[in-house]
Amino acid sequence: LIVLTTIVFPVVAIAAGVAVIRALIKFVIEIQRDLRGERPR
Amino acid sequence: MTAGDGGMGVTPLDAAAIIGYFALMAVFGYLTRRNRTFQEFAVGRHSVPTLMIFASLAATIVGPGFSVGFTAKGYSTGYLFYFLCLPYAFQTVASGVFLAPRLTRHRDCTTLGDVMRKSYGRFAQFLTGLVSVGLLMGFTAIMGKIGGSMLQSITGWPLWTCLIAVTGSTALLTFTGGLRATIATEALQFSLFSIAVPAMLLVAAWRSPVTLAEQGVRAWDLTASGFDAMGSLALFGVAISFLLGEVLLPPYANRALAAKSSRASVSGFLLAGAYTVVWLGIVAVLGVLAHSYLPDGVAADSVFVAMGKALLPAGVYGVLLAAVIAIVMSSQESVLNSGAVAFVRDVVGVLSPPSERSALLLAKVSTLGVAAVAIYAAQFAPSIIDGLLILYSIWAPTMLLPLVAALYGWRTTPAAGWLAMALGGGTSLAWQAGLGEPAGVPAILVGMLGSLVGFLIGRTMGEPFEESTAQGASD
Repeated sequence: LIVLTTIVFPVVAIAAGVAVIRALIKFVIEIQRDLRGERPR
Repeated sequence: MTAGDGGMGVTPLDAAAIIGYFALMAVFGYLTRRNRTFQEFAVGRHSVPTLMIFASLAATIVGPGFSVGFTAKGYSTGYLFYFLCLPYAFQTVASGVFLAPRLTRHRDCTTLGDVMRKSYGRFAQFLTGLVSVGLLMGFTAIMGKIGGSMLQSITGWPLWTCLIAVTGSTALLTFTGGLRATIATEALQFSLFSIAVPAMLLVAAWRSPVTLAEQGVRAWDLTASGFDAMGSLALFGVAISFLLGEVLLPPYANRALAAKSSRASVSGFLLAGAYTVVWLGIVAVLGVLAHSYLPDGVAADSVFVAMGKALLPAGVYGVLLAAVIAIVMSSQESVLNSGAVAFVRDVVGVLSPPSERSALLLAKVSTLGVAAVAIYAAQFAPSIIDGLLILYSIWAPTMLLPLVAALYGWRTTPAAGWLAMALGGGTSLAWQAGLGEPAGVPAILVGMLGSLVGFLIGRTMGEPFEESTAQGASD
């Protein structure tokens, strides 16, 4: 458990943080488009 | 974290990192703000994808208790609270599998109150609104107190100023943007703390003066002594509170309603449950490793930040402090947004339904109103774990049974709804506040029993509610 929580879990959490940044950029671009009325409402 | 505990040794570089964080939040607020309708403000037009649902849920789940508080528990009791809290992760997964997809199907609903109204009528919606707004104010106050105390330690400003700065800036972000903006800023905050805090743990493991195996022995020793110090009923009470206390709390329910599909909702909840297992392990073991870096006798609540000070260079330590502020703000944003939406929809909306335009304006004003009351109430807030356990013991007994019955289409009557809520919440409060939990039996369990009795009695009273024939049940 000590190896899991000290080494493996931090790497997994950092990977999740990076993955969310990429998804967030797409999400914000989509909101921006939406606010400019570029998508059908 | 107590106020004025000696300061946090913030350098100009650290201060720059914190200011950079607030500037980034302001840019995000600007990029994602603007709502044309109340629907947009409340549920983001049901358009939020899986990863954003996941990040937003996880950011809401990881508040000051599940970070600073958990490291304190890890420092004093090793893995004990990690094990006790695993039912919480199970609850998130179970909600994702069994409840969230059923909630997401209610595309015409913006709140839990709306869902309750469909099965029990407007009085149940009104009661749901009152309970939701009251509890969410409580959550906002507790989180604001933690964030305010922390800011006071950094700046040395008076507590009042710090309370206003933390909860006020969160309210301004939520006020301008609604749910989609809240979810976007939460995702950014999630990324910040998901990278900063685990990185600090890796540094701690790397530089540790003792081997990982020795750390493991220390962790189990602390766990065993913590286990021995608590009675079995107390252990059970804490575990059951974590299991049931936050099931479909309004911020989580709002994310299920905001998901672009049932599949996005389920996946978001499953990922958030798995992340909870990972995150809690990280912050718990951070407390264990702290014994190798901090002097004996350090206050448990200070361990999280003190580890950052001991391990990280100037500037990077500021990023960690920004991550701690992000942890507080991301949870506060969610509860503020859903508190305002519940107030407009389930309280005001039942008494006198506002127009779409008025509802949007009222939701924004209510965000500030809920924040103002929470700032005032923060001074009366108990310690974080005590405060959370009190709030948990009200939510589940009041809402869980009638909500599950509504989602699963069980035979219900209006009386079943409000009697389950009134008896569930009332019994739990009386057991806890009036009688002081006799024999150590957890109030949440007694309350659930009261709710079941109320529900069964109510089912024998009157006919099932049919919204299409009910007076004033428009929408």
